[in-house]
Amino acid sequence: MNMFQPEKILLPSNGYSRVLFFAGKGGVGKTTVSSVVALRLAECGYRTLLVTTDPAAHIGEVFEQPVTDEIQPVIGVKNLFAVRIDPKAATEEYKKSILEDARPRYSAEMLAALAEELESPCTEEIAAFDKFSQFLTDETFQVTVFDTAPTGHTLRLLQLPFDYSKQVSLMVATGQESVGLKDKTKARFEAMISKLRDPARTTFGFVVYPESTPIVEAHRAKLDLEKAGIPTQFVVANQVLPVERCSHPFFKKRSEMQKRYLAQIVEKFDVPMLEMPLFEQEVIGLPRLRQAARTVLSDCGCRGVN
Amino acid sequence: MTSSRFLFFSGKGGVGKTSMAASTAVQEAEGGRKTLIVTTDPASNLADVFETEIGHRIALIPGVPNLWAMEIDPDQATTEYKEKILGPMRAVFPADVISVVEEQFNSPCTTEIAAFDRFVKFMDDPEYDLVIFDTAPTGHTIRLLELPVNWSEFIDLSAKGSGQTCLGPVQAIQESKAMYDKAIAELRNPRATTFIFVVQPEAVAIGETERSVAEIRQLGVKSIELIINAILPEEVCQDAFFRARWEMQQRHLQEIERRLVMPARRMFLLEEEIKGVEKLRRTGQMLLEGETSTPRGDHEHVSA
Repeated sequence: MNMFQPEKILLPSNGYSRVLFFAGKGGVGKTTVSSVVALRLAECGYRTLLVTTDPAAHIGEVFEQPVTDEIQPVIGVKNLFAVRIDPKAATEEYKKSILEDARPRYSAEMLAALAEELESPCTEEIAAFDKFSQFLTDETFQVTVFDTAPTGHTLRLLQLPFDYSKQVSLMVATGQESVGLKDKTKARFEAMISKLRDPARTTFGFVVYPESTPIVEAHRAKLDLEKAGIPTQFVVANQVLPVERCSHPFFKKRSEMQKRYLAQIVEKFDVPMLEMPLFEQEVIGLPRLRQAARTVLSDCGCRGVN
Repeated sequence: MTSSRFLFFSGKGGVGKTSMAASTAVQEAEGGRKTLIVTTDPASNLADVFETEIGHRIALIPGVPNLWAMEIDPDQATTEYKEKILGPMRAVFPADVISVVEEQFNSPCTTEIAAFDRFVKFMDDPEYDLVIFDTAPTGHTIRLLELPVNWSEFIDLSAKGSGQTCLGPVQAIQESKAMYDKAIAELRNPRATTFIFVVQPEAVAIGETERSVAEIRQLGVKSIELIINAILPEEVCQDAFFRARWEMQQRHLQEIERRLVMPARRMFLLEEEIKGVEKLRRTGQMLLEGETSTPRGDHEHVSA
């Protein structure tokens, strides 16, 4: 049996900052789980950043305050900051930085061709990734929690650095190589990859609810991550029905079904599992987030050191 | 249930799009329409729901006459897409030109475009009476759907400029443009296309669906319907805990009526997951009856 030890999985160690990723099928509660964990760690005293890469960001609704593409403190929670990667804004910023980088070295004609190339819809994906890598390598926060996009998309994002040279040559569309840009990008991606693969600095967690499809999907994604050299450290089983409430045969049957799937999660994933119950009300707003955080992570592992 | 040739299932992740799309597919196929269900989701669950291997090919679903399914594999679609453009060029252009074009394909978004290209092809295929798209989660879906609009503009723009795009030379993709334009026209034609949004009576799903519906409307789609899924049957909610959740859902149901004004069907939470043809068939039947929105005794769980 793998014990869930929050101090090993959630907290920064050896003077490093900690990056947490919550992956999983759409609708399993990644936003809720990442918000709950981020809130708990911030309240333990860690300077925490919550990043959403979901194009349809829900973090703003969960915290009941706007979350923008600028890092901003979450009102009402000390040490907690939130930011959203907005693909449209990231694209504009990215285009501008590429063109400014090229301006001193390119002729007007070449710049026009580059600007045209940057109008491609491809730019948006690359720009979002560029932004993601900025937050990943930011060391000003002790903990950075990523509320990731649904599985397939996340994996594509994470696979990108392995193809970095292709991306750079795409961006240098006129065939002119910018050695400085290429080296800089290469060094940053290499730093990212080693950080993603280091379990002391990065934690990958899957969120599922105890039913077939989320388990199948998360398990497939876990194997994909392993191929990229990234281990999964824990699974959060969300929306677990409180057994004592399931006296009606309808819910009893559902609860028994969940029990079978919970056993399957433990066996299939072979990593520690954290259970998050179904709550009476939706987890929206700070009071309910706090209550959920204390229920799920009564011990966050910090031993009051912060 | 519908006369549209193309049905797009949309909605927040986890609301039950795949179950609803697969149940509809079984219902329509058994009603006599030659039906294809396609997913562009790289993490597809169709095989899990139908309990049969599907993959990147058109596969007959065992036990349901008239029903075929395909899970578009982004990597294979990319290879096919590249070859579609490169194939004819090889005969005409020297190797160095071909390698330049190949280089241009090495972009992370070629995969996205290729999956989209495959999906548009199904909208141009007279083989099926009904094509059901079990789409990827909302944000992603919208980006996919925005692509044809962007691409048409982009192709026009590039034709005037350097004559190159990251898809390859302009000439090679003129054909695609005609196909994309036709797909857009089909999407906007209410007799051809219906979008079915699946939603659950909970705050976040309602907010997201409202935004997605607005975006889809902006893209010019006119026929939009709703399935409200996973409604708790009142008679099983005797315990205070579930009674509170039932009351919460009732508030959200009123909210849905107010904020999502469109033809709607109701689907109740069931005792078990929907897996396998038999349960899909029964769920399809309940969906038809859901138009009168009466809960039935025979409950099973509805999930993604």
